[in-house]
Amino acid sequence: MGDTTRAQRISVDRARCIGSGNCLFYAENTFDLDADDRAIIANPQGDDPDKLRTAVQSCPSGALAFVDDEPVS
Amino acid sequence: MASDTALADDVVRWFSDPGARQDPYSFFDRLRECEPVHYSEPLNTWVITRASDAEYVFRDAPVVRSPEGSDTSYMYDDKGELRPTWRMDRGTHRWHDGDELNRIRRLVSQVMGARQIRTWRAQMEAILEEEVQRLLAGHEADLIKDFVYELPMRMICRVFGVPASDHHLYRKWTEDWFAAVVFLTDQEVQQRGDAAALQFAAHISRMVEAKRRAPDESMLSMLIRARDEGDKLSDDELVFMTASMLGAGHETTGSLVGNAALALLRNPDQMARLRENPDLVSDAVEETLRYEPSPMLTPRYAATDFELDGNHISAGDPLQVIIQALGRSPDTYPEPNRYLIERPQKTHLAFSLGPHFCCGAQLARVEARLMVGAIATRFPDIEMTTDSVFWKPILGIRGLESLPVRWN
Repeated sequence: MGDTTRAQRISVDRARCIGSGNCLFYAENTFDLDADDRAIIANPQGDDPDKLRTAVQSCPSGALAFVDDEPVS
Repeated sequence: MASDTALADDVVRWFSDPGARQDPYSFFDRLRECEPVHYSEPLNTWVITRASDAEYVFRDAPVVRSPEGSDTSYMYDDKGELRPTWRMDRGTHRWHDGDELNRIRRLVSQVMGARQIRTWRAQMEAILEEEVQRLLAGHEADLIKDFVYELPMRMICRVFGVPASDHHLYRKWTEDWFAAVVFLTDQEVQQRGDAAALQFAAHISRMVEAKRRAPDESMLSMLIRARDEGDKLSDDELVFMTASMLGAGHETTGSLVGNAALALLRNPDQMARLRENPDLVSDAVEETLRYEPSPMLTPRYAATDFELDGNHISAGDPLQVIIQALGRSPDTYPEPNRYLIERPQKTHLAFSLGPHFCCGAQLARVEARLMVGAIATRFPDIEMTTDSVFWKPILGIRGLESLPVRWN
């Protein structure tokens, strides 16, 4: 907990995603939209952490979240 | 308390008096500080002015856009019929929720979503260049009448495959229609809006018929196929959604660009920073979306009872979220009344959040960047020819009546 150096993964809840394209706007090298207009992660290392945080926090539908890159018990 | 009564009166005045809306920011600051979640008894609505409350309402609170169960008498005429403005507006995704909303949202994404608009870049740049050259042939212009609406209007017409020669009609109908679809309008605005809605719908119905006879690759043909083959749209929805996209596709974006131009011209240090580093144009657009966004307010209706900042909101209660006030919330944005394009915080609520997040947000951003960039860099000595500006009298869209400028 609180270990900010631990790698974090971004999860996309496809059922919630409304295809706004907002994540592409804030982190254009990380996200893309698939043929169904739902967000996908094209390159997990595409943008710096500030941009990623803004993209996740400003997701209109709340479909994006940071998850610890560890199995959840 | 006397001061509370005065504040409550000011709220009613802001909604009903265009004069009170010319420079409303000190009023917003007072309201937000005293009662960020205000209940207006005469208007029978909650009024939200603080960003953190709005974010909760948009994304997390049990609210809907369908006003069933709320007082919507203002949408109906004396005979109990939905007025033409409202019939047209209620036929768009703006008033749907859940699966109904998602069905139309998916179609709109196919028309003007982030993926689509990537392919339009070269066309947009070509249109912009024509418009800039047209201005550069002279030494003065009214940016509002002569520039800001041209690119978005020409682009949306091209995408829909409808004649650009009808621009001026769409502009007029849209403005009159949008002015009338707020919950408080006077009789004259309402009647003008109703007439505009009927003419706009009839015009689009004729275009739909023409396009049915001669289908092409345009978005209007695609929507017609969605109606005729996929049964994904009703007849009314086809017409009303087309009107909505032709209208919203230019009015809000054009007004935003005018607001950006004014903010940059009134803050020469910020204009200078943008000229030194034109890559800041996206930041300038985002800062304008915070500081002077073009949408003024958006309604929601409580689906069930909930608590908001210590207030009990009952099922069916209307809430008016004052988008224009949110970006000046000091607890979210430090020094909120300063226009600073290099502000570290890039987020704002101009497009709202949640299921009704603006379908045209990414298109608006791209077009606004192109136009704001052109104003700053192609007109290096542009200046206003008057210090006084007037805002459109309508409740709904924050945009200038005119912005006269000159250059050498």
